[in-house]
Formats: sequence, C-alpha cells, structure tokens
Amino acid sequence: MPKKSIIGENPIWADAAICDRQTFRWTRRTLLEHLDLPLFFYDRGESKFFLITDFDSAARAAVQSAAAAPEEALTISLYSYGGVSLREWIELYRICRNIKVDFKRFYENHNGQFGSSEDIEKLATKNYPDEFISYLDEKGINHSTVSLALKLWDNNSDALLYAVQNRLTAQSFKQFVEKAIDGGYVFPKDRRVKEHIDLDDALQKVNNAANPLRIHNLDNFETERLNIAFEVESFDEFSAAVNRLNAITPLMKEFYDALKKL
Amino acid sequence: MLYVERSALQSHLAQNLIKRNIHFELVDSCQEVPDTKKDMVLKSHIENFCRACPATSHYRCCNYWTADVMEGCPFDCAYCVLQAYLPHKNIQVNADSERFITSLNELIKSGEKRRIGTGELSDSLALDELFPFSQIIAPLINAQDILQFEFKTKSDRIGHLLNLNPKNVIVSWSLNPPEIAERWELGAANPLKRIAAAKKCADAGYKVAFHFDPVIYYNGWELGYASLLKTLFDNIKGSSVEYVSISAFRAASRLLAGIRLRQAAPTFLNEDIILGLDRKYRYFRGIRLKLLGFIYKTIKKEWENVFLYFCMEHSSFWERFAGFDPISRVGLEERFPHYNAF
Ligand code: SF4
Repeated sequence: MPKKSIIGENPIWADAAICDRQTFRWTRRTLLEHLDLPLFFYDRGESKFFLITDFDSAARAAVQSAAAAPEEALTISLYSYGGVSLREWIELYRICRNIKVDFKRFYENHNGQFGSSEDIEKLATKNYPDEFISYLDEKGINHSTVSLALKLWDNNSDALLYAVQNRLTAQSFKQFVEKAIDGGYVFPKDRRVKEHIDLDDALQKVNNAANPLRIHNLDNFETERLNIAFEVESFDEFSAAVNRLNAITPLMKEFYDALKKL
Repeated sequence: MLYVERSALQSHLAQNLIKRNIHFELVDSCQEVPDTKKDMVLKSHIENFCRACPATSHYRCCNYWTADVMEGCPFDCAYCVLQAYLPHKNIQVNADSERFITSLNELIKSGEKRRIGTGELSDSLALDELFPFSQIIAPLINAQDILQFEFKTKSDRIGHLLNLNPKNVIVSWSLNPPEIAERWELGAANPLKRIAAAKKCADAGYKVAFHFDPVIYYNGWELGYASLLKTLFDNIKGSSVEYVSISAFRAASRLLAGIRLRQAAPTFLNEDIILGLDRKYRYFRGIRLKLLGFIYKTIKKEWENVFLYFCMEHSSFWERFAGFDPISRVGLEERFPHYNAF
C-alpha cells in the first residue's frame, strides 16, 4: 500500500487501477507513439503497476479503472504518491493541462493537504531541487524566469520534464539545465528557414491589412488551412468585415502563392 | 554479457547456445540483468508476438505488421525511437520460438495478405548469428504465400540468409549518407557495407528494399544523398527492389527530450522543427518537401517501376510527388507489390 494517504483510504479506486504488466506494456506502447500524455504508474512490487489513465479512451479500454472522472484519476495519483514533490507537481500540472482540468481549482480542493495556498509558480519554486536552486544562483537566473520557462511548457520544456522524471544525478541535472537554458532549448533560438520566415511575414502582412479580422495558421503550415475570425454586433459591422475580406484578397493570393512555392 | 532466464533454458534458442558452447549466465528473471546495450537476455515470453504497427494520426501509414521476437538493439542510433519506447536499454530476446511460430501460423490461417517484419523493436539481423531467427522464420514463410516477411537491418550480417530460400522474404536496409551514419548511427555497419550486403542478397535471389528513414537535414544533404543514391544504383538493379520508403526525421516529445540529453546532442535538432498534426516534432514542411522530393525524384528517374512510399507523411506529399493520395492505410497497403503478386 502507498506509504501515506493524503486523501484518506479508498481501496476501491486504488485496487481498480492496478493492472498487470502485460496491460501496462500494451498501454504504454499504444499511447506513447500517438499521444503526448504521461502515463502514471506506480510499482507496487511483484510486477504490479498502478496506472492512472482514465483520461484517454484507448487506455480506458485497457485498464479496468473505476475512476470515472479525470479528477478522480488525479486523486488516485496523489493517493499513490503520498505527497507532491516537484516531479509529481510537474506531472500533475501537465496532466491537468492535457485533460483540461483547472489545476488551480484542483489544487485548492486539496488545500489542506498541500500546505498553504501559494500560487503555482511559488509552489514550483519552493520545490526545486537544491542543485537546481544553486545553479540558478550561480547563473543569476531568477525564479520568475524559470516560471516563465515552465509556462512555455508545450513547446520546449519537455526536456525539463524528462530530466526531472528521470531523476538525474545532481551533476547531470546541472549539465542538463545548462544545456536547456544556455543551449536555447527553453528559450529557443529562431531556427526558421527562409521559406518559413517568408510565410510568417506574408501572413503578418495579411493580418496587418485585415484588422479587425484575425487570420491564423493553426498547424505550422502543415496544411493550407487558415482560420479567419471576426466578431460583429450589427449588420453594418458584418458588411464592413466582408468588405475587409474582399480588400485583402490580393494579399491572401500572395500568401497562398508563397505557400505553393514551398 | 549474455544471460538466460532459468525458465527459458529448455527453449530451442537456449539449447542452440549450449550446443555452440556460447557462454551465458543464468538468472531467475530478466529484471536482474544490467540495463545497458551490451547486455542481452533470453527470456520466456507471455505476450503476443504479432501485432499491427501503431502508425500515427493525420499522416498516411501503410498497415504494416510487426513480429516482436526481440526488444532492444545493439546499435545506438541517436534518433532511435526505442529510447523513448522501451522501458529498458538492454536487449531482451523472446525465447519461445514455438509460440512465435504458432502466432505466425495464426496470421497465415486468417488468410489476409500481410507484410510483417522483426525490425520494429530491434534490428532484424544484428544478432542473427547469436539468435538465428532467420533460420526459423524463412522456411515457415516460404511454405505459404499469405505473409511477406521483412528483415530490416543496418547491419551486414546476412550469412544465414545466403543459405536460405529467398521466396517470400524481403531483406531491407535503412540508409543515410556515411557522414550521418558515422556520427549518429553508432555501431551500425557503414552504409556502403550495407549496400554491398544488399547486392549479395539480390544476387542470391532476394528481393531487397531500402528505407530512407529518417532522412536528416544537414549542411550538404543534397550532395550526401545524391552520392549515396548513385552508389545504390551502381550496385542494385531496380528489378531486385521490392519497395523504397522515404520519410524525414520525426519524434514525439518524449523522444525529442531523450535525444537532446544524449552525451553528444545531435546537431540535426538545431533546425526548423515544428509540432506536426500528430503532435510529433518534424522538420518544417518546406524542408521536408525539399528532402523527400529530391530523393523521390532521383529514385524514380533510375528505378522507374519500383514502388516508392512515404512513411507517415501528409497526403499533400503523395499528391505532389506520386500524383495520388492513398487516403487510407488499406489504400496504401494495396499498392505494395505483395498485394498484386497474384
Ligand atoms: S538500428 Fe534501428 S533499432 Fe537499432 S538503434 Fe538504430 S534505429 Fe534503433
């Protein structure tokens, strides 16, 4: 059983989430290739694995989990960890984002168990490993910079997650942070090729002319799809928006010509 | 170091090691084996051997099947997906070859034509001298026409194959220019040696295949791939080639993080890499179009009738270079020569 329960005993959830090695491995294989979802597992010895996977349908099919709602799945994970370190916090934070659970609300629900009601950034700062803090001091990097890095999660902090998850030694952790911050992984350098910059510029030009219409590329130009958004509150505004759309036609053509040239 | 699980000692593969006086240590469980690429363990196996390749969403896939006889690879490619996919670094070989044969037979009985191979969770031939799966697989595969079996490798260890009937067996090599292989495909055979091995197999009657996967973008890529392709054309006739796959480097976030943490973080990551529709990171589309387009057109010029396909690439690539979109996995699968053989 977990060392310490922070939500009280709940054997139904806990037992329901245990699966065998084969199921665990199947789930891992199936999910890892497709989804950017972390798998929570907890080795209870004797080849038992504790999976918190109720947020994904493929995993739901594989694991006989009685956890009906994402919050419950998260609660199980807290139950099994018995406390929240930076590593657990990062995983929880990330899983909340993946399944669109409001981390703050979730955190507040467990307020008494977590300690005080500090905000997420402070909580993270408080739990940084010593070697990380000393590295930040040495390099003169303040905590808000690191918070910012954590906020840029989707794009570039996976490496940080990996480092923490894999419990690197103090030295390799230091090396890692050095690489992550100095090497431009956390704050990446602009590595766009010329064609990419030209496309961004062409789209920016359209947007400047289109205001208040907003034209977004949502998939890094993997497709030719654009999202065009505008709000109207009257027929006059609607007519103005349509006229604006007409007016930007030549610029749109320029943009699509640039896209075709790739 | 080689280990054998006590429960696997009676297996055909373990007995074969004993017969050849190959030294190993006995362990109770593969969990006791050190977790390095230099350690191998022959273990008893309880899972299914054959399964459909997991593929990817939004991009076109080919409905391939994989046979998991081994997990882990002695080579150390910087971009290898196994770094993120497998929970161990050591090589775990599944000893239950009888069960493996049964699961292949079940697939055959289903009557559905399939392409299947052992190269998904390991290199198919790197350890064939130690664990001669080719000798187990080839006779079974050649006694039927439903399955086409692919040995996919970056090695030149084809010794066993040269004494076998090549009928329904494809031998394939992943290729990158030597300057990439030297830096990022550690332990694998030099690509020129791979091509030499392919030539021997083709001369022995095998159909061969090539995977330009992952194509790497680097300073001088065009010259590098052009010269690699020239060597390939000089050695292999198009009539011996069953298919060629082409695909640029891509990685899920977990893999990308793992690659960055390698001792020598690969410079090929310092490029214009974007998050794709399937949430895998890949080169910006403009780069991929250049890389894949160049290889596709160069091959088509020389090997006009060889079937070329893009692995996990967007439909627009198909439309632009091949003139059609296979639409579904089955749509792509049906275009492979195996499905048109009779
Ligand atoms: S040869 Fe294949 S399986 Fe082996 S390390 Fe390289 S990419 Fe991975």
